[in-house]
Amino acid sequence: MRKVWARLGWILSLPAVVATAVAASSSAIPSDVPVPKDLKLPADIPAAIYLPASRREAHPLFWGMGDVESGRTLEDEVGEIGPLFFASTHLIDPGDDRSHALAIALHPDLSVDGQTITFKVHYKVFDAEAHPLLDAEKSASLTVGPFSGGGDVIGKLSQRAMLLAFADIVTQLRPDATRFPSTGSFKDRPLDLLANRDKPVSSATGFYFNANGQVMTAAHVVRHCIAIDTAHESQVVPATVVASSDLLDLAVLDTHVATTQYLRFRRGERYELGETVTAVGYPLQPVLAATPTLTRGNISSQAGLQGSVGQLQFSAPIQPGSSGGPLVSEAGELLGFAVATLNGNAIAVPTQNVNFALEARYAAQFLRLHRLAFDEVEPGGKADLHTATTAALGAVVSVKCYE
Amino acid sequence: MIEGTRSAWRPIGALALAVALSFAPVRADEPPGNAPPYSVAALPPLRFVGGVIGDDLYNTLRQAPRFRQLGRDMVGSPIELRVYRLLRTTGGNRAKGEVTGVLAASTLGLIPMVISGEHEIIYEYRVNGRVVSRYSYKKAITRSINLWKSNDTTHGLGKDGLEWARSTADRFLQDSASDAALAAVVEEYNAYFTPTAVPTG
Repeated sequence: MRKVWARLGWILSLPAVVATAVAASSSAIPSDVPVPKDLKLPADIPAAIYLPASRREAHPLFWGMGDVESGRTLEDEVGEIGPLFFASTHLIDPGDDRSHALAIALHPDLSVDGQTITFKVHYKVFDAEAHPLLDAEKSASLTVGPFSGGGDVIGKLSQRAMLLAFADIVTQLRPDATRFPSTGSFKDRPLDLLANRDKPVSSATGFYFNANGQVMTAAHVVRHCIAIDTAHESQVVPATVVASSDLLDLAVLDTHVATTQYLRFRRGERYELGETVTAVGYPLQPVLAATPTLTRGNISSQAGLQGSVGQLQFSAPIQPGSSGGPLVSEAGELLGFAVATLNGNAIAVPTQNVNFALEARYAAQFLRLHRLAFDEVEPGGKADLHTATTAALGAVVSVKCYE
Repeated sequence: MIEGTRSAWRPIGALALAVALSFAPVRADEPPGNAPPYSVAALPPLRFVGGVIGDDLYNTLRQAPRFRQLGRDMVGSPIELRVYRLLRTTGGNRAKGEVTGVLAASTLGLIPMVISGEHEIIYEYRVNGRVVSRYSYKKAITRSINLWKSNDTTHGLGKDGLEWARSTADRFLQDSASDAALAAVVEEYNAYFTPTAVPTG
């Protein structure tokens, strides 16, 4: 029955689909996209374009559809639309030495409100010297119904929003080689000015592990960030990645803030099965208040999921955002840090508190390899609830990632 | 926020997917890039994710000595081999597909729908989610389809397309035998964890 309705939808949507198809087949700026008629396009300057890494290869149409994905990505859209407005365009990567006259940061967003789909692009434009020129947004919406047509509807929305954004940029700035010389590059310039600081793309946890204020967290937490903030007791400090291992899912951040409240490793980095542990982190931000959440449990297994390596299993409850949070013994020693939890929905089996941490001994091995300082303490020190919570809460920081 | 819209678009995606899954090959493959000269003889346990043409690719890969520890159930392994399929269409052939689709639907299937696109089967090594190397095999496909027939056993590729898809497993095995990025991952793996003994070759 659904197939019949789907086919009927195609028939009913004939006018809309034909119109959209004809528009999509054009390689010029569509006539309903407002650009001044006296403006010579494409402008004779190179434009560098930033798209958040997590959005560059998104395939909106077939999300969740299994192994077949639409190859139409936002990167494809920008690759087609950019040359309509600028003589050359390239996507910005860290350390990019290609020159540009304008740098354009595009921050796409998709929202659903009832039957209405809205694709919004927030854009910031900078000149070659990284001076801000423009900060605005455009959007395209569609209300879903029997006449809304089939095919890559979201792709068309993103295309429309991107066209409007580029049209606004050239209308407002009237770019040419005289006004905007091609002297900029991101070879030695950090990308953080391009980040959308309105909201982080992810929020997680880390902890100080030495007096230099270096923070350990999970590598996946900071993978695509072009700006990172850490926060401890309301003090927000920018951070940069100094070393990381995707294999261990471990990253070390520099905050350049000296501290005495850091976690020490248990000498030998061994633990007991069943040992009581305290987990602390900043989960579910910003739903929960920006104060650390502390839970207690024990080490429930010396191994993780099948095929995993270097992980222990623990029962102290964690939630999204707890990644990178330390696992602390009753004596306040670091035993590991949270990297994953078992998603019961994925295996269609109810699960409770099946969580995984990277064992501290692999973190210590990583630090030795990278010649990063850390302290060890002999096991057998004072061990109680107060010691554990004081150590954990003193060292924990929230980590916010911006793209 | 974008991920939250998946379910809302599933009906439209399903329709487009059904259309996209019905193609036949017309153009030769594009060769993959040159691989660097590093040998990856034995791999640690690694997870397989993918079902592009059922279990065919998985079964072929599993026969290679280097993939003896490849498994769909290795869900905890930090290293993953992911195989998936892309369909790339340009604005022009998207438009042609939609126009012929409308004609096909409005003539109750008397006129077939013609869709062109570039199919791509991608093999990716990922380490905890980060892509470390990628092998891509492409084929441009044009296919006339009848909207009323939906029992396609070739996974939407047509007979020749299915043969092409199967052949990518052997080509991937050959192309990825020397992979510097993967060799570096294996070296790091062995440095931290006990090397796993598997047959070489």
